[in-house]
Amino acid sequence: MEEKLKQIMQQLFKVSEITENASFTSIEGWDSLNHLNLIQILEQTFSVTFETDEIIEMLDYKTIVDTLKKRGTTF
Amino acid sequence: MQNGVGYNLALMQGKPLTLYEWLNGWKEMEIIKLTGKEYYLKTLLPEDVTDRYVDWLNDPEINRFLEVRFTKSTLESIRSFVEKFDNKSKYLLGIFTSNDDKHIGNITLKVNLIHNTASTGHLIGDKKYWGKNAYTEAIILLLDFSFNKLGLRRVNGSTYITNIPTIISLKSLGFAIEGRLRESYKDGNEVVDSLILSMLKREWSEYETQLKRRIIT
Repeated sequence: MEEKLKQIMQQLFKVSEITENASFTSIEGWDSLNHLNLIQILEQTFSVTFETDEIIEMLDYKTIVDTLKKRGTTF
Repeated sequence: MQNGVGYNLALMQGKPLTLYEWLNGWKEMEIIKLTGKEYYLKTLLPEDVTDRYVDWLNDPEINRFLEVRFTKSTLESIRSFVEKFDNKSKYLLGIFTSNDDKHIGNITLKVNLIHNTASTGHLIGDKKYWGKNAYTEAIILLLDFSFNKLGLRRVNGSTYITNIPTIISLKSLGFAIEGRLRESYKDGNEVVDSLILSMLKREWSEYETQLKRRIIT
């Protein structure tokens, strides 16, 4: 599942690699609008619905993984 | 020039007084210009108010988080709004593209001169520039001006919790979420909370070099 997540982020942000330290500030293509696109794709792919408070915290790879785990997604 | 960010202060000259200026005692107003990488900020003047700007304020997608949405905007109402900014305690700066001087939005700073604090608000009116770093550059330029030029101690912004692009933009720049006002606004048919985010001068000093790299050509 983590591979799937990395693949989504790579395609969306147009980067060749997503590391464990990837964050909103370290990836140029991860802007505020693309963040909303990412959330939408994650919700569709993993069949979850995020709360607003989660969406504004999911600004780095690790927090996204943790939030998906909390939402019951198995990695 | 200070650390690559230019302050360009010039005086307005030879401009006829508006009624507001005449009634309130005309003083020459500084035109402020803050230059970034792809955008620059410049004091917005009544003559910068165009039909295009008025259309932004009447567009439900653009004005979704603006209180101006509850009234119909016109050239006159917006020119009158622009005239109320004095560049002393209330700043209204237009966001312009560096390559073709296109006005794409605004950013405001309302200063409390006693407490050395300020609040900021913004509008990116030209939808083509949503997600194009315009707000990020504008807020970095404004923070630099606020802390290094005006000597403020704190700048804060307040926004609907449903305005996610603004919240994450400010968070990514180092603003702290410091407060939540419950059920404070209506967003469509929903009642929503709002967040207050702020940056202090000492935090700016910590992030300054890193943030300015994003606006230096």
